[in-house]
Amino acid sequence: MSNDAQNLDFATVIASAVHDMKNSLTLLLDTLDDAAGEQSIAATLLQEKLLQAQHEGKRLNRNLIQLLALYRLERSQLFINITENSVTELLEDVAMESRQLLDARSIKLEIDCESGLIGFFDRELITGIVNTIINNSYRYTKNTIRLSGENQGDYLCIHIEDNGPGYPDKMLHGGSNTDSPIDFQTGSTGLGLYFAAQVAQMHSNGKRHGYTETSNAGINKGGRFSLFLP
Amino acid sequence: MKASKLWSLQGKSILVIDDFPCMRSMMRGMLSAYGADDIPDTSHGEEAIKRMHDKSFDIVLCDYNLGEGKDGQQVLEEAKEDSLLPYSSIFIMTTAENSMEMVMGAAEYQPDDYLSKPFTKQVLQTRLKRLLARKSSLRKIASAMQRKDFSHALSLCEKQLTLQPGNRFELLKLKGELSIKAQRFDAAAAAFAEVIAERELPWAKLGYGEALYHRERYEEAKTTFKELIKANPNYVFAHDWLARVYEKLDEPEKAQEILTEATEKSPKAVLRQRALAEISQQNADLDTAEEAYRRVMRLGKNSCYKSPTDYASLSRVYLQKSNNVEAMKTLASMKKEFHQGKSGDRLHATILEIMLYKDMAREDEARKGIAEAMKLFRDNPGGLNTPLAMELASACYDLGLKEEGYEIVRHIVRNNHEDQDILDGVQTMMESCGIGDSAADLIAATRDEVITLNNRGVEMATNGALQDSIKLFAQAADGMPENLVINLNAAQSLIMFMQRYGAVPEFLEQTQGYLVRAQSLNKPSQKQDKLQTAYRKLVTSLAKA
Repeated sequence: MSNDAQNLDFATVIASAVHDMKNSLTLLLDTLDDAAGEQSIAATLLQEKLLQAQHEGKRLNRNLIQLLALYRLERSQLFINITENSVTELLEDVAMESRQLLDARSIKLEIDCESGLIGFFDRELITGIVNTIINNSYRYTKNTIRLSGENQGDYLCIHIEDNGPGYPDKMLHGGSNTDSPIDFQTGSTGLGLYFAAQVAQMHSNGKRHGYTETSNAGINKGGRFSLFLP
Repeated sequence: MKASKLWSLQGKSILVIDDFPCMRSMMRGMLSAYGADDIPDTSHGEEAIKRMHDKSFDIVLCDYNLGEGKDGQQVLEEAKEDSLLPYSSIFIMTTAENSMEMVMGAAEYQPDDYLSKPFTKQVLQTRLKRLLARKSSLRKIASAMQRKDFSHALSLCEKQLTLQPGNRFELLKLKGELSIKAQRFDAAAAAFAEVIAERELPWAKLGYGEALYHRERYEEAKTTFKELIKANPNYVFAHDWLARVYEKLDEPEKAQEILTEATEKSPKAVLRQRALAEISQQNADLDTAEEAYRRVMRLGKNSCYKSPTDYASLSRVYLQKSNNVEAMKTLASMKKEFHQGKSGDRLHATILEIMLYKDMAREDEARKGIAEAMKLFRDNPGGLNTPLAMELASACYDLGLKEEGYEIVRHIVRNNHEDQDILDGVQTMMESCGIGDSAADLIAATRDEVITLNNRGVEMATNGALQDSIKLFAQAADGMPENLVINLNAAQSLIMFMQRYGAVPEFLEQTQGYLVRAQSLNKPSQKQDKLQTAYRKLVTSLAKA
């Protein structure tokens, strides 16, 4: 028995635990989704609480994903699958995910992207990153979040900006600053940004690699997160 | 917004596969919210395959992790191998893993989409909507592919590309793949090169290298695959192809090395393990071969790739290692595994058994095996393919069973009367058994028999006795399923009949059967293309009528 335990591959343990947790989360979120969409619930208060629970559930899920991915990354077991994707579709998909929650807090979500814009990236991973950043903006914005996509030179660029107070100084950086020390005091944000930078870095085309940038060039000097993909 | 209200899954048959009951009922709930009314579900891969045999589905939602038995990837593989998933249907793999590394690149077949758990109703709807729209834009190409009419599918694909579609890369990929199937390797290389010029995507580079390989430009293919591996060390398909190139370049040690690397990266892929087993056996690295064959059997247990050959090969490895006890044990488990299977598998297993007994110089058992094989062969001559028939015939002559050998050689010649390479092979085999004198006569006589039969059928058709011609060729094709000329003429007589009296569904189906068989023999000809075109016209005429 003790021998068996020693032989267990930790990655397998995590993977199967995550598998289980995600099954539970799926059911939990589906129930919340149904409940939050229920028209007969008169009390707005309850509705808001359900949405909040849903929001936390999704956060939990993203954290699980990141944790597993980072663990794999460290052991060089994280591979990316670069495919051709419509950027508009990606932005619409993530917008749809958070629409309900944002509506409840009267946050406006704008999308600004040419409909034929094509990008080359790992859809699942990039979707995860944009979701994380939106989730972050949700906590700090005044009332608007804007998603945009464009080609900048040889790079596809995806911006997520808001009209909140902006990033604190110590979180501002540009370029492929993937190994900057992370201050985990800031909570999940630090982990999320670190993860985003790592994933961007893994996207490459020839000699060029992706990178992330945080600035306060958002709406009315709000926070702006930019993802550059080669 | 209007369109989304009208959008519905009504009338679509959808199979849900997940080992978690709550998950299944949740997914069925999501689907029925969008109007779906035909949503069977199951928790087991085996059961899923059975359901798909009973009826074909428009959409399959399958979880990767299914607990005991087959996993999601094996369900996909088997469904594709058994032609249960036409190009028009949608297979979505749901997975609790966020990314696809678990399955990506490690497998022969890829699903149409991945959906990572948890997902909401809206996400499911958006994905299905897009996939259905995409599939519907490829509807005509899909139906040509279903008929294995690759040259027509290819021309449809080219036509669609001229319309400047949004899914240009997808169409270019399809064009490249179809060109390879239609054996137009220059066109395939061109399609993949067009993608590479814009973006060096792994699949495009892989396809390009594959086209080079087929054009026998092995040095260039080697460079291409090496570059691909350097840039994407985990893209195991590139390893598979590089190994094939090394085999062609007569460097089997390097092929083994590269396959070893690939199997370490994706230990679950049966075909790759088998390739490693075969090459290491060839390299006389018996320990590696033994291990690899054992893995093939373990992994292949629930899969469509299970084959008696693996047991026989492992048994032979043991013989080479002078371990007769293990050799016999393996042979016994082969008999146990396949004695109730399809008659083709049983015949296959029996022939392998005969060969092993011969190697062990156990003549009595070998003779018994031949008697059994002959019985299976006579019950279903179509189940004996040419390579195995050669083995069986040579075993018969070795053991002095001339009558049986004669019967099998006739079968080989009848199925390949125009294939000089195979006829030469028969001649050589008979010479090595010391009966070369009678070989030439036997081959010539049998060949003339087929030619006479064929001419009689053609004459009937030209004289207007089409029904007699159809009957003659149908009977002939049953006994000679690998004979290209006979299959094509069987199709032709049916086509001529329908051109005169109008198309009927049963005849169209029979025609398609012969054409698909001819296609699978991989000897493209103008006659075949012409018949495909004529067949297509008849299908259209029936649809209009």
